[in-house]
Amino acid sequence: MSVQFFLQQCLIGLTNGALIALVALGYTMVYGIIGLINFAHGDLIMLGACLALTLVGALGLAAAGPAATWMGIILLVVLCGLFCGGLNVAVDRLVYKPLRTAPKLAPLVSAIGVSFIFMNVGLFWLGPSDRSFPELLPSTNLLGGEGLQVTWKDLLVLLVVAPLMVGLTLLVRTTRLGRAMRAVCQDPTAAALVGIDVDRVIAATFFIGGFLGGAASVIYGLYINTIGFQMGFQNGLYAFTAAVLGGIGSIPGAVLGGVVIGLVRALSSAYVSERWTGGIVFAILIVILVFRPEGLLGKRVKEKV
Amino acid sequence: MKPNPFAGAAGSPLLDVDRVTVRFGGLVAVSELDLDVPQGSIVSVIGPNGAGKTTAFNCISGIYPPSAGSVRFKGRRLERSFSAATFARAMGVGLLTGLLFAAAAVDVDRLWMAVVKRGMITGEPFTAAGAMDRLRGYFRAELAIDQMAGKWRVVSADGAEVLAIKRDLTEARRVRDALQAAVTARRIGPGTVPDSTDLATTPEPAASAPELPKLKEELLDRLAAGKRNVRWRGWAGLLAGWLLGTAGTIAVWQRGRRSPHVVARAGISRTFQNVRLFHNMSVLENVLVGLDRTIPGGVLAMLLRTPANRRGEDVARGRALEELEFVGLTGDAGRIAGQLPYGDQRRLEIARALATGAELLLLDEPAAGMNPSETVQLTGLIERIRNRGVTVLLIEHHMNVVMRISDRVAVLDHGIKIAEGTPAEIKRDEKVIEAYLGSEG
Repeated sequence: MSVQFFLQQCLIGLTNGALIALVALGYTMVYGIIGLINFAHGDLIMLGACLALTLVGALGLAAAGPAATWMGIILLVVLCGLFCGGLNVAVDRLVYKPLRTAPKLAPLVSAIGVSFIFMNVGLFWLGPSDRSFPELLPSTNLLGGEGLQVTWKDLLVLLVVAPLMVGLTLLVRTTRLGRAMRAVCQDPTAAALVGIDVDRVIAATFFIGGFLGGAASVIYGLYINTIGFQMGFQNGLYAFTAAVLGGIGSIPGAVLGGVVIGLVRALSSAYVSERWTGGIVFAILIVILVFRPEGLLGKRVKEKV
Repeated sequence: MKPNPFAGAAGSPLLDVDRVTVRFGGLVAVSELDLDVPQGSIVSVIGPNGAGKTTAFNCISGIYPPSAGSVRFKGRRLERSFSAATFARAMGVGLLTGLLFAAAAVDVDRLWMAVVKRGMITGEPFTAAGAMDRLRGYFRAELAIDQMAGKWRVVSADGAEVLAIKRDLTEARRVRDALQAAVTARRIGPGTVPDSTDLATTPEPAASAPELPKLKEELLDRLAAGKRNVRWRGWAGLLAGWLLGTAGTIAVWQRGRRSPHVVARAGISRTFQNVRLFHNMSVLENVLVGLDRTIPGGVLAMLLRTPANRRGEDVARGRALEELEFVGLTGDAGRIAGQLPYGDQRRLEIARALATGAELLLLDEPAAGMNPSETVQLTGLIERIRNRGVTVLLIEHHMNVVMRISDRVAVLDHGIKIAEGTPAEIKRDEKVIEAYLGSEG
């Protein structure tokens, strides 16, 4: 149990956490804007991974040279992002929008339904057994030697996730759309009454959440190397937990929650046991929610009268 | 200041509320309200609490639709118009629904099984021609072979009927061919071929003639009938889904056709009785939200900060500062809206509403919770708003405000308009006095 081992686990936790955070953002943004827990988000990412796998095959990336591989990965991230974003918007338009004024439970149950539909499409696409995602990146140690292992895969996760998160933060903080999103989050009626097209802002939110999810799906495939039609459920659950832990509705909260859960998972499987990981993660969630029901960075919401 | 395009248009009022009724379940909140707001005037609506004033405002600003009657602004109803694009979109959604229905009607999973999957199982390379062959075979209900638990099965093309199970692939093929011949003969009908489904006519009358399973007559009939009706089921599904999807989409669209943002974009803006600012955002940002649609550029333009987008932001920022100056909040632009004193929050809300370029401003009790000096300031502000060419419709309880600035006053009680006139007329009206003071005796 050396320091180096500990650092190695932290690195694994960080990369895993970044991945979880990317998915958690999709949950937290949609929740923030329409108060819906989008249960279909995990399965949306599974479909993104399906597309990624198909595209890897179609583009012949497994046999490409290094430069082509990197170009291909960027292309995959963009295409899968657009695919998941577009699909998310379509689902919002077809399923959630007609239920906008319905009681909160109606869109929630519909989201579960959409999740099942996605899962079955995935079953159709991938088949019932897990599929291996080709190793596109060499797993040589970038630091060299026998010490800490940092591979291209670890770097890839951070290289893709960091700019996306910076971009998202800039978008929300400084642009017109971000302003409109924050306004709709706080008071959709008031926003509509000063001329904001609330449905468009909601659609944009679904698109951004879906785009991040699509990017996450590609990285998931490249990093974990195994995808299956049921991957959406478990990963969605962890990401949702991360969003709740960080304070659902809060964007920095989702990132923090993702990293915390990633680290806890990595460290508990290294130092305790793989089998206890889930238990430990959720025990920590319970403890934190007992003392901070609004999550780590969430704001206490006063019920509107 | 904004030029006023309707300055000369006498006759029709800017806002025409025509016999509007709002019901919530059995409760009638507003009953047959008639109200005209002429261009460039200040009209007040007064009445005891619960008289339906705010309900009328919500109805005008599109938060909920009137149960009966209509609201006209500049002579037209504030609704999204039913355009060809709307219809095309509805048809598109309908088509999607239709395809789903059709897929369900033709058993798309079995079709997939027959056309794509089975080829993979038997190890043939996938070709378009092969797939077309299998597709035709599916509709003709030809027999096929697939694999289950290591054994070869002779099945109907849709996989619904299992006719025989063999250990050996060649054996299975032979059985398939024999049975197929029997089915084909039945399809063509007696008379066209010798009335024997004799196995001697099968392609491989080899020494090791396969042992044929005994098939029931009705099964043979069913197989011979093929899946021709599947096509009709598919078309019917497509049509039914298309109609249903289109109608449903239009119904949903209909529900949202008079939404608040349509009203706001047409030129009506409002403030709320309990101030509804975006509390976590800065004062300037609050006003900028009101200017949102004046800034050009989509998501990509925003992220890349294209010159057009940046110029738009700059212009909007300038206009926002002008509005803040107009209401007297210049120094507070950078503060968080929720931290302003109450009176300032009200003025910020007015600035945000004005920023939308509204021609009609609905103010819902702007003086509530203000002290006398703030109230005087507010009165001046409302007059200045009118002088800018913005028409004001006001709900207010402070009678000195109402009586001083209103051109006309309407009085509501229990959802019914009991009086309307100039402030002087209203002061003398007996029904109004009764409503406010209660009837004597």
